[in-house]
Amino acid sequence: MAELRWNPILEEWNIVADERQDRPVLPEDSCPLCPGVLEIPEKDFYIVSFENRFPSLRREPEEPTVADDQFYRVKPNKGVCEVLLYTASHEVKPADIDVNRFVDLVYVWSDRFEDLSEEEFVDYIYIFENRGKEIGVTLAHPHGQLYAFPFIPPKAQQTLNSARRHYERSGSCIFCRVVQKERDSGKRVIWEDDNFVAFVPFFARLPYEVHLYPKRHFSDITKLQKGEALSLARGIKSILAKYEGLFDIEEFPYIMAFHQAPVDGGDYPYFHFHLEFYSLRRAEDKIKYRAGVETGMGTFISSLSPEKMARDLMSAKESTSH
Amino acid sequence: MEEIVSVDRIGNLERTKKRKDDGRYVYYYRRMNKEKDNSDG
Repeated sequence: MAELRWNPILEEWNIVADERQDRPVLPEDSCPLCPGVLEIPEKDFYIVSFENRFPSLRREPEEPTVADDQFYRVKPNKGVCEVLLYTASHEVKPADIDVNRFVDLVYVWSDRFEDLSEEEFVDYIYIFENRGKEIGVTLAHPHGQLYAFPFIPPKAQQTLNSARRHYERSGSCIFCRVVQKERDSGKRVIWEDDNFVAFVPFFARLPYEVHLYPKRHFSDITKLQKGEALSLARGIKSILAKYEGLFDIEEFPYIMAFHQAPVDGGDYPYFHFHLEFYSLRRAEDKIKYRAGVETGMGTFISSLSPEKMARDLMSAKESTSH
Repeated sequence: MEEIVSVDRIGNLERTKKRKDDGRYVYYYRRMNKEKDNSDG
């Protein structure tokens, strides 16, 4: 069974995809993402993106298993889920990937975004990476993912609503204002170059949450100008290297999430492209669980102040071989 | 088995779009004009 079900109370779509229950979880015998094993028949590759074998969204979905009654609405799970392999090497950590390859990865993300934005059934494209078993990663090979949604997901919609209201009130970009506040303060800025800046935001709610923004206002990755792709690659690498240097553990778990304007044909002059990074690792031996208050009410309680997280990241030795 | 659908140039990258037996698309990117970077494998 795979379909979209509407929650009339929260006014949002949920995805039901029960075949994902059968996905392999961290197989020990062989990696299906390594070249020549399962997904990539070729003996070697540079960068690859392919449609997920166990997708939450499908190009050619089946009809829903239940009837749509206008209140309990249901739709086919039409969309695209891709897996992006950063390298053929199973062992390399994303933080250790050579910066030239990382720049090419930025161009691949941009190409996948542009390509899928032309599909009429796609309203929103979400590029992300899950890393580490604490996050729920099922395959260890360095990879990211892409979801091309047939709707605008709730957090993106909430963000757009806030940005639109601020734009209508002030005529300016709410994200530009956040970037300016963080740069003026400087207390939570952990990395910066001519084009991008990374900081733990004043309102961080998850362990070692970092936001990475271009200083120039634009809405999605296809608008990157000369030099900005290299800055973006360097910024991501620096954040991941700081993560790896935070604790004496084998692998720092994180989520990397791209935030971009929808591709539904609308006009979003108030949206500002950026990336957000989050972890669940709040100390070397402690995990942050999304428990009763976070899951039940959506209010986050952080036992780490944003200022401490920024200090920790600023003093972290960037753990990378490059 | 994968069947080539198209080959396009994206900046310094060449993109080869293929289709798998089960209908899924796969996109192979390789670097043009420069030696392949094998520094991380």
